[in-house]
Amino acid sequence: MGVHPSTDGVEDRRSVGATGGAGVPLRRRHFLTATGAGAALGLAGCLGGDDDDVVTLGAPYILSGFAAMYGEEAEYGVELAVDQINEEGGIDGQEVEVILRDTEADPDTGIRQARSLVEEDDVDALFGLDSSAVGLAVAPVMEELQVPIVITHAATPFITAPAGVHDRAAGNEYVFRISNHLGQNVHGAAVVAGDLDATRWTNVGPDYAFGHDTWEYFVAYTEGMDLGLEYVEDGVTFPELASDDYTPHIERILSAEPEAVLSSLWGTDLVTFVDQAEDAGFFEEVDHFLASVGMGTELPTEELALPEGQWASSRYWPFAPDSPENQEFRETYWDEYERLPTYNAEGAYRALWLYKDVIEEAGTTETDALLETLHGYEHTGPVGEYTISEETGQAILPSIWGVTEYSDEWGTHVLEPVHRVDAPPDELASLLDHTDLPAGV
Amino acid sequence: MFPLFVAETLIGLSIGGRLFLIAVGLSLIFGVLNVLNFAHGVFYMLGAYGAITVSALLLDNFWLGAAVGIVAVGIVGAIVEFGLIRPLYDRDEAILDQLILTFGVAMIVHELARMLWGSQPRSIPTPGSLDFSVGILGETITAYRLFVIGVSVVVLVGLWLFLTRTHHGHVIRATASDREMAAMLGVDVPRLYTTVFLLGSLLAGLGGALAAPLQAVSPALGDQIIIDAFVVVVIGGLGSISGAFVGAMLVGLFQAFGVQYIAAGDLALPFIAMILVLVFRPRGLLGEDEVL
Amino acid sequence: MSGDDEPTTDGSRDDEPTADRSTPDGPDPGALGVAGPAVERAGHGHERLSFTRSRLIEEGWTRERLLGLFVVWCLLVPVVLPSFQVYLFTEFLLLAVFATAFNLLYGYTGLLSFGHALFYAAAGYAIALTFRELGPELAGVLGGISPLATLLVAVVLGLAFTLVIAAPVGYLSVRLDEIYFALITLSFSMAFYAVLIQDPYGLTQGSDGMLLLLGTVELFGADVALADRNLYYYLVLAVAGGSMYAMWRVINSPFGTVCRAIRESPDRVSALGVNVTYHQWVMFVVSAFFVGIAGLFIAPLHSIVTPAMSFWTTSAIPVVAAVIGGAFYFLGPAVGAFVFLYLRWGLSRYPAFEAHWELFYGLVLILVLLYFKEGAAAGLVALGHWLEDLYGVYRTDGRSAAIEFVRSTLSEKAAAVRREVGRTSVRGRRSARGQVATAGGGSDSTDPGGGSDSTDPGSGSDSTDPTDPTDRPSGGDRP
Repeated sequence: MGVHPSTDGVEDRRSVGATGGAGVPLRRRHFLTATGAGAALGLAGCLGGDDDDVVTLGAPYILSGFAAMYGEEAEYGVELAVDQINEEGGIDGQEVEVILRDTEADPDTGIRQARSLVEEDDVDALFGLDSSAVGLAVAPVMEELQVPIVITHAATPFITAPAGVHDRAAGNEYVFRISNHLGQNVHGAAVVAGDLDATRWTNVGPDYAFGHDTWEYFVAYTEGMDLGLEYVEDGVTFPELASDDYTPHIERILSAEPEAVLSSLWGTDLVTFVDQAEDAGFFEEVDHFLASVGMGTELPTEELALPEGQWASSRYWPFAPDSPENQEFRETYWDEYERLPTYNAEGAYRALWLYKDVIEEAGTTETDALLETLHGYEHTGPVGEYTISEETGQAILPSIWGVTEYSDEWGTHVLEPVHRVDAPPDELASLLDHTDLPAGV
Repeated sequence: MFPLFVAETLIGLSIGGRLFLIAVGLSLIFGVLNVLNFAHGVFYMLGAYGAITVSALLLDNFWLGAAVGIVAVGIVGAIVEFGLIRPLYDRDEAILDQLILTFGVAMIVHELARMLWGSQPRSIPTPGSLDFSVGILGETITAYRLFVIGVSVVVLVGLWLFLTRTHHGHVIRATASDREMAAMLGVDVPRLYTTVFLLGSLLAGLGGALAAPLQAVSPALGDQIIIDAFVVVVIGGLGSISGAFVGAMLVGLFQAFGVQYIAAGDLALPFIAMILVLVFRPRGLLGEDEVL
Repeated sequence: MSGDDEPTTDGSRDDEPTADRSTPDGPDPGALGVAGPAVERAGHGHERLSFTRSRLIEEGWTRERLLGLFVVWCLLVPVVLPSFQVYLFTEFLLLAVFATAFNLLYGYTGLLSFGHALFYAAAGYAIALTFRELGPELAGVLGGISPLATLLVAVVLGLAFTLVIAAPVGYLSVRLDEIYFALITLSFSMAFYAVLIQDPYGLTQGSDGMLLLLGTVELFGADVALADRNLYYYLVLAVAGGSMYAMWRVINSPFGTVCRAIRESPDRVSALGVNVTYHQWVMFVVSAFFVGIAGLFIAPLHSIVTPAMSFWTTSAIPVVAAVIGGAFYFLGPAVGAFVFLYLRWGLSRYPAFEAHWELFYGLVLILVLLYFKEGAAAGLVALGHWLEDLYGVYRTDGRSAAIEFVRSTLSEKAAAVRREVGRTSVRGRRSARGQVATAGGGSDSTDPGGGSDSTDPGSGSDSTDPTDPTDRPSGGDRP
């Protein structure tokens, strides 16, 4: 990793603890140093297995290749949570330790890493996963390994749809997810669409399951809501992942003359698309642009943002809800890294706190007890209050949609106003009733 | 549909121009050195980062930054050639060994770029002097894209003049067609190889630097573009500069029109085109002539 | 490309035992089964060598015995290794078959395929589709043993499908050579990748891929999970062992000999009236067949098939393995597959390295290409000879002589490194040929895998090089 901006901060905070609280924290600091403590961050490698005094969690994320920024963001959240939890005395008095692994966005590697974490490092539970394909591959493996996983990013609805309800469904009782999934997110887009004065809709999304599913769910929800939209198929386009030039696609969309465009492009692809769309006068010709991953990893940077006045979504928003938890997380994160937390940072951060709470409530790290506690668990984190569905393991969360506006205070675009669109499971299910798509929650 | 036709053609040419700038260096190096440089894509990526980083340091002047960045990439290329590729020329399967070696170089450079610049994509605005639109036959295109098309034509013509009208150009072509003969006639072949590799890398850097205002730049930029470049040079003819131009423009136009008329399955088409060319005209559409 | 200079101008070598180059059953192919260049040693230590060799054989240290020991080790893997390591070793066995099959074309026929992932994916998808489409049907007919029957059907169908694809693809590809061959095979695999990920006919579930669970068989009243780790390991061991043996037989058949001759010099072989393209085509199909076997059995291990199986990065796996391990040894690619997989595993044990594992792969590739042209297998062979010599010295001259032997090797090695460094800095315009010969020859081949300092004791003095495989008759040039 290029930057570990936290290291200094960590030492500072511990020093403060040591002077304020006499000998005890100091001794703990020595303990940390003595165990190597993964270069002071708790990210140690070969220390797993000692169930007696350490809770070990495995975290497979994408750490290399074209989507590595997701893993880097997650790592920030992990560092912060590990520090805070251990500062507060750990989980039931035990140190928490996280082992990060690279899935390479490759299902085979993801499976190997999950197996290695459970069988070699003896982790008590897993959290993480960015790629949907890796998630769908790992889900059955978790059932075989009999260890729970809390997914913090991978967005396919099929991973929390119980296996059997659909050809592609791969959910089982070991799989949980605390970020909102594509279906919940797109439900928010459909609600926004209902409020907008636009009937001709089209879509741009990456040419793989995520892009295609986003459009399919959008059509299904808006049909279910009887919005009477016109879906302009001539404009629907799915550019190859990691394209260098979107102008032909922009041209295709514009020549279909839609009033509104739904986008599921993310990361580098979204930035390139927006650059080129601005050059082509796209945002003048299209009335509404809804970016379902519009406030993703590019959130913290000034030059990458969408133009002002566009609709964008995120799975977590640092300014909503305006709760003490969210405010504290945002401020601590800002102090530590001098940037706003992205949803992947918050997801990783919250997964650790969720495990702390669940393990303490269950009083053990035994799988059965964890599963029982996690199903139907009510939890509060920066993202707000949420419940983990009893049936599917999916967190019942509102989706977040808002309009982009530049903020001098934060040096980046923010969402103003921002809406939290509630998505009750039974409502999603009834809206999808006329299709075979699962609600996944 | 006339306006659409004009629009698609302009888009196609501008994509083709960018593809040519990445492909021409690859083809030049192959034509002269017989090296298929897998690291050419990461050199392109370095050119883009060079332009962004250096221009941020130098008064926010994109052109100055791009120029310095391009030269830096050329030097990196020359070092790679001198230090790593040169020891392999005389092996029997040199071309395959060099392909794999440059694959290793690409992995290393990608990781170093990630350590240096992070994985987060970067983006810079279009240089102010070219940040306006131009109308052509009722369609508009940004001046910067026209500029890129213009640069690709200038590079094509410039290289052609250099190779056909200058002494150095003659020497390069002579060496490309018969290295031993050139060596016997007193050509310093190793030095010439390094020079050509440097020139090819400069072109990759140029392509990357000019691409920076058009798209997001991330360390993975080179991974995708190198496969596109392979498609272009194979269709045009490996080692042929005019072939690279024709290949780039064909692929660019195909991408521009394909999106309009082909709903799905377009991902496979460049590779099918590549197979057809390799089967029926293995040396490419224009690959008969050495280098030119 | 032919060299500027005559092959062996480097002073450290006087004669090349070229005659033994293509006779793998010559004097001693070594424990690793030398493919092209037989490791022939002469000069230094001749008598001691013969003593050592004969004593070792007398004491039963034959190639067969070493192989037997390895087989015993393989059989014991599930007993002695922890569960995850059994999984990893299963994966290694299949990657070894993948890489060795690839090398039938590369090392033995001279064709570098950058698209062998095509056959890997084709077979993998065939087994996944068979289980999805035929599994329920067969279950209705056969009941409890149906998963086993489905597996058998899937293997047959998968290999048939691989052959059906390989025959035309090979036919079109082998007409091209060198880089053109690499590029056309790349195109075929990428076109297949595009079809898999875009899934125009709704067959393969696009980018999500298809889950593949083998199921449970009822045998003699007991339930047996086919994917049970140890059971599946033994199944793969049998399949991989059989495949490796079959490939060994192929390259040592008259057909294999012709192919090796083609690699050395297509023109000369062609002049003898042999149909070069036909032989290359057949070898292509054979190679694809064994790649198909690897793909068939890796799919149930991973429990999923995805389009990534056909992406060019998967094609790069056997290429990297063959380069690291040594393409001129039969077992070189297998050694390389071992390094490939276990290096990745080892790096993942260290959080600081995990995110940058690609950096280490790049470095290893470059180091091997520049300094260990024959790969890790050559290093292992050299290490084996050195150990034999050491043993010989110990048996004839006693312990202090053995220590002295180790010391002299180390100092010779250090001197060689100093020479190498000196030469690099003054290399200038000098032909790279001498460089290659020295670097590739036994004199400098250490053991890159183990990172050990041991080297062939003859280094620097008389020629003890294995024949340099990079030195081919100039007729071997390809246009």
